[in-house]
Amino acid sequence: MSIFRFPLLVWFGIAILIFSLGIRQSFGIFMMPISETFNTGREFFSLAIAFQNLLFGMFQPFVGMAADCWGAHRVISLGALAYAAGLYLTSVASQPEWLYLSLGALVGLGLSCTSYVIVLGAVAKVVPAQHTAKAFGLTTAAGSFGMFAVIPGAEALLSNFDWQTTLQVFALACSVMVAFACFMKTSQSQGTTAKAAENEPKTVKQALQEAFAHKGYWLIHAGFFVCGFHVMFIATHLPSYLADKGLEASSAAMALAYVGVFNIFGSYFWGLMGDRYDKRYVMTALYVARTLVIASFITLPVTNSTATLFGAAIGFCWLGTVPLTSGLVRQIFGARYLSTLYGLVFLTHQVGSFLGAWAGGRIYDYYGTYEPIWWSTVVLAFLAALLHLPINTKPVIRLAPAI
Amino acid sequence: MSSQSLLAQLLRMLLLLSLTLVAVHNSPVFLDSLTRSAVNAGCHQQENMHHQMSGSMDHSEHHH
Repeated sequence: MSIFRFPLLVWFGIAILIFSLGIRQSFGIFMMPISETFNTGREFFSLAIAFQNLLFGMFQPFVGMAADCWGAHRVISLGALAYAAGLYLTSVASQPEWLYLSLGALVGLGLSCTSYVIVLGAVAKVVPAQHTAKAFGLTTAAGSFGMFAVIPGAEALLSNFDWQTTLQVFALACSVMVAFACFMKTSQSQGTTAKAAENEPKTVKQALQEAFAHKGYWLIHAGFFVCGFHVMFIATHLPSYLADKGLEASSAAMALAYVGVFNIFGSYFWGLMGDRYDKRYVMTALYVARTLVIASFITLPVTNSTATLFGAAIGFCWLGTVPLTSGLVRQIFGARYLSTLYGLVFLTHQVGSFLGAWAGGRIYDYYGTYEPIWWSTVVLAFLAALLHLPINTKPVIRLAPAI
Repeated sequence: MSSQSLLAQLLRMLLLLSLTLVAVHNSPVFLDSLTRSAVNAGCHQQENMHHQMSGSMDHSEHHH
């Protein structure tokens, strides 16, 4: 199925991701002006962003349940309003503590309601099951690509206006997401047959009981935990590691730029593979690739060339786990409660992210070197590769006759 | 309608990737955006990186 034959909902979902994640990606450039305005030091802004990320993960399962019960379009609209309110309140804040509520809680809630879990949940309901991973890969890739467009825009606004006005423009942009959300109404008719719909769990509780009793669901959680650990550790500590090895900051910049470029193509590639071959084996292949890439990087001498090559190779395996993981959950449990079930998996990913960023610094401080944590990531990648092999990817029995 | 065979899809992807890499290497603004995005995706040391990158870019600009 050509991507151009995907329902319009997929493209509106991509547009929502571009706005939602694009604005989020630009928060880094607000650190200096906001810290200077409130005269708080940089730690304060960092803490507000860390709080936002924590709530982003913690809200996700509940927001996913709400989307499965009341519809993605309602949750996205509500989230876009919370996002806009958070940005606007940040721009008019007179006390820095307001930022915990505005930039932290409200924007965290907005992000939960307008990012991958909710959009992919809606996409799963309108795309035929055999094309789901490709649609997820396209959504992830296009969402990642779109983010880049927002950052130069934010920089242009900041160079012409103050940061308060820039945030207010972003708040207005969030209203566009409300308009897009009107097109995110889903029906079960295209993605799932009527017979399958009859057999689906009737409540969130039933869906959760079914998933919790499935060994594969917990293995998917474990795999995505490793993904979160890898991604956040590398994004956070790669620049410092390269600096320790005597490379210039421009080398780290190039390596990270390659991560960004190759991530876009990798996300689509792994999604494509997930539709063509058994997803658990594709996932195993992805983690074996990560194992080899990271092991080679820390074994070979670190030079400008190897740093760039590493950026390209790890970027190719970066978010390829998203279409495969969400695709596996959809394949086994169906599309009806995907946002709920994938929302919980995403929470595990965020726990892994938190530990990846924190443990990297903790172990470095303890040993004075990144080597132990790098080798830990290699072992974790290999374990994740093995973990996916025993997953029973067959749809649960109630869905079997309809697929 | 373009071919949907796996080979055709991979070749189209490879072509797009090559064009993107050419664009990246010929556009410092694009390169900087990509880097910021990758760093902001999860880097709590972004301000240090920003300063380092700005420093290195300022430095390279002085040579031009």
